[in-house]
Amino acid sequence: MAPTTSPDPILDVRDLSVSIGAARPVEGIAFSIAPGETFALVGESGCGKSMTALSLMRLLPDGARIDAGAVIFHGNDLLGLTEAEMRRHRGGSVAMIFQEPATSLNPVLTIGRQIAESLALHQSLHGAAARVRGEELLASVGIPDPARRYDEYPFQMSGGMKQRAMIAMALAGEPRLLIADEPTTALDVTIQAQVLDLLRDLQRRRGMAMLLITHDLGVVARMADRIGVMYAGQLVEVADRSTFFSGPAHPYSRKLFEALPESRKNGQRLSTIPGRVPPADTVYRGCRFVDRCSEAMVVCREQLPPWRETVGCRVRCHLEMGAVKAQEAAVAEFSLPSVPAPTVPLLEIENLKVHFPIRRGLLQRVRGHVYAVDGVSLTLHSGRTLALVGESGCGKTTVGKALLRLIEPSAGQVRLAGRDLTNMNQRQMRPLRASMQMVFQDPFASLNPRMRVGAIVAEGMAALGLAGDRQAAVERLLVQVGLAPEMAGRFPHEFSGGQRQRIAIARALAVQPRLLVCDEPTSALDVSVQAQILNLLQELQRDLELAYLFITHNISVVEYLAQDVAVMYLGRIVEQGPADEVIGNPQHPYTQALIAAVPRIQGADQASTLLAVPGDMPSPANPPTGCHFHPRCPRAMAECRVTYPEPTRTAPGRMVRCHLYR
Amino acid sequence: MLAYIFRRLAYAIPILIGVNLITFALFFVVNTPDDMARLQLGVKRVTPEAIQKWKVEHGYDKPLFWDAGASGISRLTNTIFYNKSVRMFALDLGQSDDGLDIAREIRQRMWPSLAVAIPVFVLSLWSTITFALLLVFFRATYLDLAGTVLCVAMMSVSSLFYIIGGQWLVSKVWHLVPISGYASGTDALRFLILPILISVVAGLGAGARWYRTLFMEEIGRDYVRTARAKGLSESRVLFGHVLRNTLIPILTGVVVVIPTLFMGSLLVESFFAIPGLGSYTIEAINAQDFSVVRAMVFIGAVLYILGLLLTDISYTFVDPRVRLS
Amino acid sequence: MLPVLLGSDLLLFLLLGIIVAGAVLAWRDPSRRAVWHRIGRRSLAMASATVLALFLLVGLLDSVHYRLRLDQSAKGSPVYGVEVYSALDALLMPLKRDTEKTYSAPLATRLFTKESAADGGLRDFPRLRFGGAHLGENENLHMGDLGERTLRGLAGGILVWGIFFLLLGGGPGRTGVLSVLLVATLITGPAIALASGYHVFGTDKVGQDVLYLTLKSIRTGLLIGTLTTLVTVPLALGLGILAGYAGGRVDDAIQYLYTTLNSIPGVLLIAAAVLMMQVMIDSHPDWFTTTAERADARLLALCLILGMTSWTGLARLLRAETLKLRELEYVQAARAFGVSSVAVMGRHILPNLGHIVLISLVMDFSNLVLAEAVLSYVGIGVDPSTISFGTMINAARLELAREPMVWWSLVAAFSFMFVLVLAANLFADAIRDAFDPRAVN
Repeated sequence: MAPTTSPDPILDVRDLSVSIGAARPVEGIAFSIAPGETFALVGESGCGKSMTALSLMRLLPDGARIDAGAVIFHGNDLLGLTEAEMRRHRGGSVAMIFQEPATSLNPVLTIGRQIAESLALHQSLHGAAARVRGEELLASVGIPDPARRYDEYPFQMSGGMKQRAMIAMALAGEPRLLIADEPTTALDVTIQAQVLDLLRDLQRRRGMAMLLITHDLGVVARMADRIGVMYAGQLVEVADRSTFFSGPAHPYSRKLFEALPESRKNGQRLSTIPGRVPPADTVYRGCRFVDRCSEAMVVCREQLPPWRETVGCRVRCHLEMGAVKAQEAAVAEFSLPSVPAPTVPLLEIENLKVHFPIRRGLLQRVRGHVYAVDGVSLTLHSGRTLALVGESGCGKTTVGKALLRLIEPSAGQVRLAGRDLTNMNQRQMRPLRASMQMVFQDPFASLNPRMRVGAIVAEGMAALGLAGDRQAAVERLLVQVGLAPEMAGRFPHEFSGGQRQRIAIARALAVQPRLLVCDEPTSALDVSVQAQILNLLQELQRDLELAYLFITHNISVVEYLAQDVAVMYLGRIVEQGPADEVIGNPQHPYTQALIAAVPRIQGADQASTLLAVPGDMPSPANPPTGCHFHPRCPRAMAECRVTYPEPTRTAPGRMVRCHLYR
Repeated sequence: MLAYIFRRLAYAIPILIGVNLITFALFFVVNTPDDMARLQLGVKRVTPEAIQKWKVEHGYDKPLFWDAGASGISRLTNTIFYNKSVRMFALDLGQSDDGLDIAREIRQRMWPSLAVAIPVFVLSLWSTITFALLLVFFRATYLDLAGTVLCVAMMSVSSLFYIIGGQWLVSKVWHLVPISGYASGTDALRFLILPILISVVAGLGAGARWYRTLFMEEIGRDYVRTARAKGLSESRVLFGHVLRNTLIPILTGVVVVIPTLFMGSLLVESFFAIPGLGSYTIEAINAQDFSVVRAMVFIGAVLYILGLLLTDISYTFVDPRVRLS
Repeated sequence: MLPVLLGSDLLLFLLLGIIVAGAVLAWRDPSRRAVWHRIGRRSLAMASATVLALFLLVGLLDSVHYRLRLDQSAKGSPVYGVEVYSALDALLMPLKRDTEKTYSAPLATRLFTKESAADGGLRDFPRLRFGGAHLGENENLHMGDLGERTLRGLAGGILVWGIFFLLLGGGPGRTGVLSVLLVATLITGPAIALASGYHVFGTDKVGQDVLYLTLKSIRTGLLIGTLTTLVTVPLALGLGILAGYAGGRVDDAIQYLYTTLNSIPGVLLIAAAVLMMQVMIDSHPDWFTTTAERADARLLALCLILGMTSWTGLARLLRAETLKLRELEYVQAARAFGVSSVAVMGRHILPNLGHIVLISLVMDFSNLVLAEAVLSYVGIGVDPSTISFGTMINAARLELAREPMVWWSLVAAFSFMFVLVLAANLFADAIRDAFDPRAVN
């Protein structure tokens, strides 16, 4: 099979360009998709992937317009159709699903009505017939009890359920091409696995072509037949699956792989891409990637690279094909910080509980509790990293905030270097606040936009009354996190996400803490920037002997960064132990499911054999009796429904709470 | 749901008490009854006897909060606070300063007020939403721009100008309807057309622009893109999806005023000599009749709180998230 | 000459000082400077800003007050007249001084009403004392004189505009400024040329020049529109932030307070408060030395009352925004350092509410100017002796029934008010578009 064009494509995009004023987010894109094929469009944020998808549907936002190109779908140029003709294709032969299921469904209409609308439009089904078909569709996307769900509103469903309903809606027009724009990015990893399996299954059954837009190479590995890599509005590489995963041709593609934490062993430095994606109104002469490319040559600046074609791959680069692969970036080896565990741990958490009261009724009396954190015990030594892993809503962030008393714990003990924090008042807490600090998830919300970087970094020193030359300290800290000292005079909006996260780290380091609570510090960042931050955290830990409590949902980051890991489910730790052992040999069925659900690029050629765990995480306000996981557990026993399992030591340093190991 | 309504109702009681205390403080603590008597009697050098007589006639001769001279419960009840403020909770509004029963006046005068206010309310709502929808339908065209500029210009015109200009043009130049006045029964119609029309026009600019903003905000949401991706036509997207959702913020502003329609409009009623509650209030203000102003403040507050309650209830009809949780 | 500093002057200049200081502070933040640059490049925004600046200029001139020294007391301690003048009065002295007997139409040479001549002659429209008096017997030259003065005025106007043009030059946003200035000079030029011989907008019932009254009204409108914010902003900011940040019982109490205030119909609450204020001022005549001070006190009291009744909307907005900001990570980060609540509110919450306050202020301004007219009409506005759009309209309204109609006061007041409010609304739109991240346009 010719890799770059399909012989009889259902969709053939030729030379597509989009502009918004002076900005040109998409320029000269060309690719094609064969019936039944999945074509994945990959790239970092701001590369024009979504814009490409929207222009295929002619759904560009106000102000954006298609300047040139053709979108041949089944022999018709969609761009030449009238709006009325286009509407027949939209939602009919071409359907689309979006990233945010929470906002992409109309909140005041029932799911059924939103599906029926499409059925009436494209299948001329009305009334009872539409209802029957609608329920069939809901059943076909794996929504249990479709007759009841048909009459429910979006807010009554979980995120995964909503995305399934979106898919059902897209299927209502019997599409021959499905455009999926980051369909699982907003979902938890176990739910993501469910939805990806569903999409692949539906595609096979219906012979539907799919354009999958994603930033996640793991998802690509799981789903795609062919891959297009986008950079700054252009396609830079189009390759078929096996060629791409055995060795991507373009330097940018290659960097994307090397930046993945799973590409390196624990302690090795990750490869990063310097700089950031240029803004969409940049005018280029040569290759768009030249400023960030480690293999840039003079010609790259002067001439737009031509397409080069080999077996299974088409790449837009001046480098000879072989040359790219021959070069291997030198990898600096870190020695894994093998700090002997001191006798007194830095942090001990014992049976920590955070319960939020639920008030209801006329007098707003407490009618129940949300058991956000329900008896968590952890130990962390200086210079080591403990990863706290779990899906959203499991209470992992609450643990971090309760440590710093940003949320008041309901019960339990937190000891920092042997001193109990839980009974201290805010005044007594103050001197101890210098010993532990937090780095937050969202780099855009974690810096006050009205303060200069210098003031932001110095805030902690001022608040805790640390003596010394603050300005010099700020400059030293900025250098330490890889920024220039003169950046202290600037405001946060002048910085990219990665730089902002560096500033946030500098702010935390300013008070010389011994413990950093890192709450998903890289989950809002692109993969190349994530690598930069992970490298920085590694360096800092080595230099300063910091302890990290690393809160994350990303298993590959855990593998890369942490010595120990604790897996959390619905407010409790279900499994704990050395990171490599837990990930390599998970014991708790939930941990097993979590790890199986992670889409990986290694072994991409073998279809994943592990089945996704069914269902959603229950509400922490009303946890299931017995083991919280039993309703979703494939190995649940009678006992699991009755009692919550006690901790079992299965190996030195390993703990699991599961009846299977009693 | 019922518990929810009961809770809202229970919340209304302290608010009404607060309103009552504020008005009492305004009327009796800032100035003494003597000051009021002096003002009412008009002459600068009124005798203490005349003041005393006025106070006795109007029931202002009692102590403010506590009558030490009386016995039992009447220590509390034989006070201005009890007679003038507490009794309002039983809707005992007392008498105006010229000796008329306020409650009866209100019962009589509320009908002309409603005769103007209800048509104005309905027509305004309809015309502003229609106008805003039109602007949104033609968004990002010159029609939208012209319409928005027109809205800004219309809201920059004083309401007094709408009334005076309207009266001059329609009644004086065109001689279509009487300039002002009121009649009972169907005769009222020819007196009502102009004030209703003017009120609707006067509110159109600000209203349509506000609703346009709400519609535009809603149109930018993800579910609208989903609806378009289904292949729905622009008008079906607008009417089937956007309108339903925009109704929620619109209701917040609209339902709350429904009960206060009873109060009538001060300006329109006084310009058109419509004997409603609005002109009643204006007359009271001009005559410095404190009893009437106080009664109207209290009734206005009661109606407003009723409006809040109605708003809460109306949410349950348009927003399933409120209804079902 | 004795400078007089009325309370409202003091507050107006104080407010101006705050605005200038705020502007200087904001200018140091490049992100905000960028926003202002964005506004500066928009012609419509700059045009409306120019109109507002012209109005502000008139209002400020009218806020420099003094009392004249009386000549007869040259020796010993000086004695000053009771009447308070302003710099604007000094500029417009002929207009202020040259009053006719009663109504006269714009640019007329004769009164609007017939009168029997003093010598018992025929009832006729008598000549004006000042309007067109320079024509003497040659009243037939009236039209020619008007034309000549208009042309002279236009020529002068264009000349002045030419100077502005040379000073400003071209550039984005300048077109707006220059076109407004062109219109302004083309109107002002002829107006000045005509005003030296005629009453451009006619005269009112007691023969006062309507142009003078209209210009004097501007200050009242500006004061009501701006001084009110001195009450609303501190209240709304203080209570809104406190309610949002502290939560719990504090929040309940503040919400209760503003729901209660809100539940009283606005006009009635203002009416009640104004009535009470009137009683208070009436029963303490000894508080004020001049009528100007008395009227000024009443104006300030009106601003206070309007402020007390209108802070709730802004407070609610600020509370909601504070609730959002409180959960943001930079606030959490500050709390992790043990930064005190007061410092968090001052350093992290307050500066991030600036745009909301600004947007709401410029939006409220036009509403307040319009409200002044309505309240004065209802009789709960400014002191009847204070010249304002409301009092002008109120006085003119009574003459509407007259045949032929006395229309000029109304038209003058309404058009000035319209231009002021329209400019304010357009400017408010520009501010909102530039500062509100959610603004859609």
